[in-house]
Amino acid sequence: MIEVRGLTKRYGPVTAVAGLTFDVPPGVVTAFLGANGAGKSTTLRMLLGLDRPTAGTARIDGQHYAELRDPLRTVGSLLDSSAPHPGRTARAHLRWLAASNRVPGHRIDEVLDLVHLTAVADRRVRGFSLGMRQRLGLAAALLGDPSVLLLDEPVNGLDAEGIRWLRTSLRRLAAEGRTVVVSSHLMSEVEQTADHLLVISRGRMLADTPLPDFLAAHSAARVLVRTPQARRLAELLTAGGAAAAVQPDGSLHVSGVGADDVSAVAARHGVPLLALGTDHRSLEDAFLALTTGADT
Amino acid sequence: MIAALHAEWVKATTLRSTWLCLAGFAVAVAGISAAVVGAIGDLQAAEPGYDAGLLAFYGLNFGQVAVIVLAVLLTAGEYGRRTVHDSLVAVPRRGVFLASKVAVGAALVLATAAVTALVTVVVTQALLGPAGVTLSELARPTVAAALYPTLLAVVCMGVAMMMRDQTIALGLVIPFFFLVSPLLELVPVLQRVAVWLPDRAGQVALRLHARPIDAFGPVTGLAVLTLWAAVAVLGAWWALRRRDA
Repeated sequence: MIEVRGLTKRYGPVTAVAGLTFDVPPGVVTAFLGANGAGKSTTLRMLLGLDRPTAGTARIDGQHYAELRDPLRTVGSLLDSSAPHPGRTARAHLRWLAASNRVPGHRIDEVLDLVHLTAVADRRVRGFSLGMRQRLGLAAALLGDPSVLLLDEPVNGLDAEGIRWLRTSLRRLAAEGRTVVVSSHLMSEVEQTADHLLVISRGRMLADTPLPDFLAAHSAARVLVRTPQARRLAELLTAGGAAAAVQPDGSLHVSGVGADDVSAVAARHGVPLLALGTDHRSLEDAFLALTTGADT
Repeated sequence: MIAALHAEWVKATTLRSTWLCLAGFAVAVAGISAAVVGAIGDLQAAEPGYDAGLLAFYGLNFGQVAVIVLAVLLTAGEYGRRTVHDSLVAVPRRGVFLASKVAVGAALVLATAAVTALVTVVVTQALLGPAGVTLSELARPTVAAALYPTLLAVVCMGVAMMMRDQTIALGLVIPFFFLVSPLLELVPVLQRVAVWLPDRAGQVALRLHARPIDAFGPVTGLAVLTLWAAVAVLGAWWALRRRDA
């Protein structure tokens, strides 16, 4: 459980975070969204006691981070601004972290195995790819078996397989009852993972809402259909109150109804469907419109 | 605190640069001292102002550079390598973090410097043969040769932690202790002040005999250096608490 109240950070005349108030409950994946420079990392750094808030409080399980006993066993974090020392091996990096918080040594091998770094555990980090470094960072975050996870842009540098692994892991960790926060500057990265959204821009909260509600409110979902009877389906859908337009390439763009409605109408009238999909650009557009709109 | 000490120990000892600096220190101190004593030791011993302690530990002037580099790498190096956020997330209490780091750094230097001092004194006096002095006579300079680099390392750890920039810290501290401070002592109007500088004060304890310009004896010299170390660490603690990481 994370509780943030009136959290503010000013650097001279620049206000990076302006009075954020929110709660992050356990058991769900919460996405912390915002453009680069919106104040996500600053907020996470204040939660971790790295930066001092100008005003307000950030508490984890009711305590300030610095008050936690063996904090890595309560909070696991991955920060954009941090890096393992290039001259240390992956295992040595985890060894000092484990020592600092009395984490039992067997956890080192467990997390190395979990992120598939066992084979390179005794190599210096200097030779690691961006993806390998990111996985080492995730191993470090999971080392203390924490009940709270704060991950700043965890997808950075991961390959397709890594991203899929991360998504599954985050869902599983949340299902185990942990508090999971994932920051990102891309809606599409968290769309399939998050249950709840926190959207910030210029240090202010724009949306604190469950993902389905956000989708319903902001994405006028456009359904893409391929059918040999495009004109006929368009007429049927228009008659039902939807907007449907046949494109020059013969496909059909439908808005105002969902993909399930389109398929129901087509089935009822015996229109064969070759392809049916939802265009997600509109969601990314909605996110962009929301964040850039607030900037002006 | 024990966990934090353990962590700093693992951090320091898993870096190759730590061992290179400590080895560099030992080789420079013992090697240069032995080489100088071997080459011109008997001539020096015949000079009127001869100081057996100063000559025996001549290599310390060069070896201290390795200790300064180590001190900066262990502290400001965390900022240069961007490891400091991990460190402070793992050990959020700034005082515990700093105390552990300084304690481990000082312990590593003290252990190395103590062994090096013993080896150096035995080798140099053996080389001097009949011109050498007894080891018991050099007991105090030998203890000082172990304490001086340790306390100097603490001064540099504190200063570098305040500066947070490895390059600037190295560029400032090395020339200062290697060049500026010894030269200031040669300028007549400045020498009364210069003798109070950390390295000048500490080196008083390396000499067997007092010089006319000395304002205090060996014990006070080490005490002055200790005071500098305490001030540097307190400054670093204040900066760590006050600043964002």
